[in-house]
Amino acid sequence: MTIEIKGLTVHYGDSQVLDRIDLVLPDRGMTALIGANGAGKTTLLRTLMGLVRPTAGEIIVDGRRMTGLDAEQRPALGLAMVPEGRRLFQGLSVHENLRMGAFARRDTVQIARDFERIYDQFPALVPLRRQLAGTLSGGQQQMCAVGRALMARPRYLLVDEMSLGLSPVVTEDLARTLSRIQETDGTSILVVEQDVELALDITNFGYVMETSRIVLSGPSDTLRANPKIREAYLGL
Amino acid sequence: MITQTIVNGLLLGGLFGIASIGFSIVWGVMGVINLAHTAFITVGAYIAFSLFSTFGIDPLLSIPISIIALFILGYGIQTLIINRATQTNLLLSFVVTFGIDLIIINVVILLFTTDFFSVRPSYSGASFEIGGVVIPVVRVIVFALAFLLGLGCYLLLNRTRLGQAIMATALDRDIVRTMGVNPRRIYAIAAGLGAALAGAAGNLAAIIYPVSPFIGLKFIGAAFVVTVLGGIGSVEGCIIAGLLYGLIQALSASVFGVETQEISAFLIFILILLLRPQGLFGKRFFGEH
Repeated sequence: MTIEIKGLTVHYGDSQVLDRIDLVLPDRGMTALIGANGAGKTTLLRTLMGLVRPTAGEIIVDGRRMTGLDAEQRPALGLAMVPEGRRLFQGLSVHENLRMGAFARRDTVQIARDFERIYDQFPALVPLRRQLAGTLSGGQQQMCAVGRALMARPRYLLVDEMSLGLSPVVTEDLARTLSRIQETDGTSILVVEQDVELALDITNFGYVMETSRIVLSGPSDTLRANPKIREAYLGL
Repeated sequence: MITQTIVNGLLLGGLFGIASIGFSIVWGVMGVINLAHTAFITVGAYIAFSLFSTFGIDPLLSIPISIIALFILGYGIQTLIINRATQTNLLLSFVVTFGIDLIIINVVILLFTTDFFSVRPSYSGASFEIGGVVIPVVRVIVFALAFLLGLGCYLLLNRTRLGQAIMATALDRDIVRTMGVNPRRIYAIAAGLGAALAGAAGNLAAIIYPVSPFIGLKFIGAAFVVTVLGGIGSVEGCIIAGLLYGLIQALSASVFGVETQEISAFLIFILILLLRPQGLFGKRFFGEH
């Protein structure tokens, strides 16, 4: 059970933003996708979720081709995303945001338990349950966004730029939570990160994107040791 | 005398509120200013009239029929026309919904001519008196039903899974898709809901006003003023702003004469907007995209 991406190509108008991407997301574990701004990382996640239509190539989730499957049908297959910029429903409360995360699910009893689980993972959200999401601090919003995605009980979780604009303490806290979820649920998590050090730290495998292509991939440890990566992304 | 005026205004205000909620929801959820909204009100009035004159069905009993018929009409128009034509372009939504308005009103004229009809159930002349204030029974019934429909709509939007999906779609129609919500379907449901409320309002209006192809036009000013005053997309705002609108109109008519009532309502509308542009009960973070 994996996500296989083969030759995925995306155009925005005339410009090509993804160029024959090949990538495998294993059925469990943490995978990193790193690269400079504008390399196409976010587009890749949005295409996986069905928000962007590819011009060529295919995405296969657990043996099923995604071609022609609308975005709103994909959560049922176990896909969830923590979007770039969090994109909470600002005018809804924290609790309502979490509930929206479980929209595609029908197992009411388990959903109730999952609320408790999210509040256990993020105790800071408990006193904020009834507060409008738009009034939270950046860190609280990111917890809510991660919690919302987890409420879908995804088998594949795509996390886009989680650390952006957050303090190192909050970022580390969130990263630990992701690792914990990964271990207990056996979720497969793909993290897209500007913070390359953090990304390679918490993942076991990584892909490097440069101008709409995958240029390098390998175990995270190997990538960390790679002189090119050290120079370009880790500033060493 | 002044008490009588206030009571009259508030009783009518309930109807103005319910006539505006659908307009407000459609505007708030999809950014479409639906100029066909008053045509939906007109259709509701004719449904009440037809069922009353043909089958003798009490206009209060025809409300569920108006609601269902208009829901289907609103849902269908949204799916077949508006979803295809526009979702975000306000100018285009004006043109398209104006066209739909013309078509509906002309079909009504074809079927019923431009004659005025009345719907008079047995209780239409009845009234009672409290402390010198005469209160017509019909208006109390209309007010109570308008309030109940408004309350039902509020609960639907704020307390149900579907309502939450509608609100979430209003806030971010892109990201809801990643949670399994189909925005086009939500838009169709919101449009159906808006039309259904307009149908109920028209049905109620038929008991109070003469039924003609222009009955809906009585509410075009109210729809704009009440929606913006109450805060776009806010059901509770609509109800309260509706009452306020009815009150202002009644007071103005009794103090300065009937011909000034629209002017006064719009003047106070402009005044309130200068002081509070988000409306009296505008919800935070809604309508910012």
